[in-house]
Amino acid sequence: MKITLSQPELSRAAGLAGNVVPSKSTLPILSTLLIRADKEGVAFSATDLDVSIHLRVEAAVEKTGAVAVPARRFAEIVRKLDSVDVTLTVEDQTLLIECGRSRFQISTMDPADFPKLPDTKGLDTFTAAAGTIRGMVRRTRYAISQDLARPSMNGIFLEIDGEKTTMVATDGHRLAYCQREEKLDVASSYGVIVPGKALDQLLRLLPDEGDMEIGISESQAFFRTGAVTLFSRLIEGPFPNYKQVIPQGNEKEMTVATDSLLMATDRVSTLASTLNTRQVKLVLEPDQLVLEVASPDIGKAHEEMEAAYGGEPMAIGYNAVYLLDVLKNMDSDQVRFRLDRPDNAGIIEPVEERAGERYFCLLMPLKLSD
Amino acid sequence: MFDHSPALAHLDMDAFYAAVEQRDFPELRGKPVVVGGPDPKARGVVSTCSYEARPFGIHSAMPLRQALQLCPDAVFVAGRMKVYQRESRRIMAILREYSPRVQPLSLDEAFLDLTGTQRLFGPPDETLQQIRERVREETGLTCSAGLAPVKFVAKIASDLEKPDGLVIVPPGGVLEFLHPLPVGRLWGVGPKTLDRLTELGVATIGDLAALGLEELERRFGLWGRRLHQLSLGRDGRSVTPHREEKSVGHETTFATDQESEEVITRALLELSEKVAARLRRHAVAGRTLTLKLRLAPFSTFTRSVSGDEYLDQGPLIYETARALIDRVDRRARKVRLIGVSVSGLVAREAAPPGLFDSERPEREQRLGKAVDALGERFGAGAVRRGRLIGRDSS
Repeated sequence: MKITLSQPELSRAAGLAGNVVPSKSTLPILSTLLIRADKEGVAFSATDLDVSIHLRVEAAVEKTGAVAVPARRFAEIVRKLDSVDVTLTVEDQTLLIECGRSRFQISTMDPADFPKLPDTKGLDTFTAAAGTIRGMVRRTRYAISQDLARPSMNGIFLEIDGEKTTMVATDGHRLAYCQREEKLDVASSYGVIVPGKALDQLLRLLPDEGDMEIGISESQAFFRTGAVTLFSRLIEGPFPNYKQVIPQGNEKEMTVATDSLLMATDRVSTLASTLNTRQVKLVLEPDQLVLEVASPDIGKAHEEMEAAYGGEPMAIGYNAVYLLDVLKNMDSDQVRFRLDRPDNAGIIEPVEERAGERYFCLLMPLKLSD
Repeated sequence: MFDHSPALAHLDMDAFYAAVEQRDFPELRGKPVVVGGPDPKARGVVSTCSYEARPFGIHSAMPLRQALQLCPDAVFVAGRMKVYQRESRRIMAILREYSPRVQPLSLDEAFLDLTGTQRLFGPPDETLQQIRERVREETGLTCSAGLAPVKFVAKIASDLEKPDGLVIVPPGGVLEFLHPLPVGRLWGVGPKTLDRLTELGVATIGDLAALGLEELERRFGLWGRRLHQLSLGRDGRSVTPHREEKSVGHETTFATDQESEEVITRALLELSEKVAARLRRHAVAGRTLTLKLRLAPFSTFTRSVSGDEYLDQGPLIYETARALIDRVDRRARKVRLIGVSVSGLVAREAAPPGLFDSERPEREQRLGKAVDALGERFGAGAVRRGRLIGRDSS
């Protein structure tokens, strides 16, 4: 194999593919990037067997062939090279990297050992707006569970019926919900769980503008934008019955400036203790919100702010970290809390909704520690 | 005698497991008995040995094979944990009749705060004697006890006249009691500290006190300050009824190295249920699960993970441990030991409620409680998950 391509293009490709490479793996071949040059051009691939990436780059192919090259080292080298053309040559299982006056030789592995990437053939595919998907992932991703014992919550539940697209994530204590009215030309309705790792890659890959192609089967999905295709294994369900836990009553409404609450929560949470699940107490009073943190052996914090609230005074406790996550993803100057009792899940939603969109978060309160 | 000072007792059963065996099997009485495994040639260590075995040099934690060499005539028994647990519950229940402040350190050892019990039961030294007699009457087992105004002094005292001894250290008599004792008797003075102290010419606790704070601090830093305090019989620790557990765990060493997935799965299930039962008994739950795995011959892995849920239910603990064990590349090596522990503990009451609590977990929780209740009545293990029944795993 012998190919020549520009350093920025090479570095970008090695970086994107390198993100998929697992940091620790029992299979050495998974720590490599597969570079394949054929008559149509050059493609980079990487996989951790759950998530795989395939991207085509522009290059001058002098001699076709393939090589499996240690991903991290390769990406680091090409990132540091001068911004001129780079030539990659494979001879006797060694990759020669030449760029200006730099020369590197690195040992490689047999490309025949590299796992075969999933096939996109036979999958139902449809086109969606990349920016929309990206925005929905960005605002729901945070609520995904990291819990190994609950694999079905380790991803976003994606529902598509051609009229609307819905994403839901939950870790059992909080839930993020985003639904957009979106006409999509789909063959059928889908309800699949996309793992967190694939979503993180999507956030990196998806542009704000333009279209993307999505393909879904029972166990696999792919997402394609431009020359990049991301494959992901889907998580087996069932996803928890989230609809059942979305409260219907919740008539106590409080509206507050998102940034004020975000900054105040951030400040008082420095004294929140892991011993009481980083509890911050919200005391709702007529037209005022008080934040309180009291942690034994650590200290106390108190902060007041203006808020629109007309209900009975009440106090409710939240995990400060969870509350901050919700507020950071609000994209609205004002945020509305719709509450019931201090021991029932509350709804937190933007006051300014985007057209055609329904977005909210559910947050389960903590038992007040005092 | 203890009118105006704390009356802290330490009670320690004499050769507990071995004594239970000798009580239940009269043919073992008067013989060196080693509890730790029926087969002294198998891997394992001595958990307890009877007093008859001690002159041979056998002690706890010694490899069984070594014990066999020292005393080929010793009787080796596997041990019946469930019986020991039952006896322990009976003993602790007796202690709790005399004071709410009972701090069990293990199955056979506890601190007991008798401060202020004078009006109810009479002088603490007489009360403690009464407790020892009741333990003997109700369980047929002897214990040794110490009473002192300071916790660590009570522990030293209980050990001095073993077996079946009672040592009272009156308030005002602490220094007189402590200073002639070898310095190795102090809590936390291990072989290393002992070596360094010996070099300094310190043999007794009195010598240590004579060395003075400055010298000790210069040589041992913060630890020196603590040593100085101890040498003067000062120790602020009180009897804390629920010892603050940092983690709750169990481990199993297989008699032979295992490769069968079924055996490993069953061990993992059993460990998970045990850990869960203990978490519930202490009314705590924790977010971090640690799996310990020793592969033959001697590589030990520990893997930890913190989830979103506070764990105190067997199934969730098992699922988490399972996910961790599946991530360890065993490369076909056999498994020698598996351990499961849960840390990052909070009071169960303080664990945050979940959105989906009304669905699956509540059923599990009720099940867990029912299993615990049956366990209390009929002994741990009375009810087990279907998967655990089969070849007896105990």
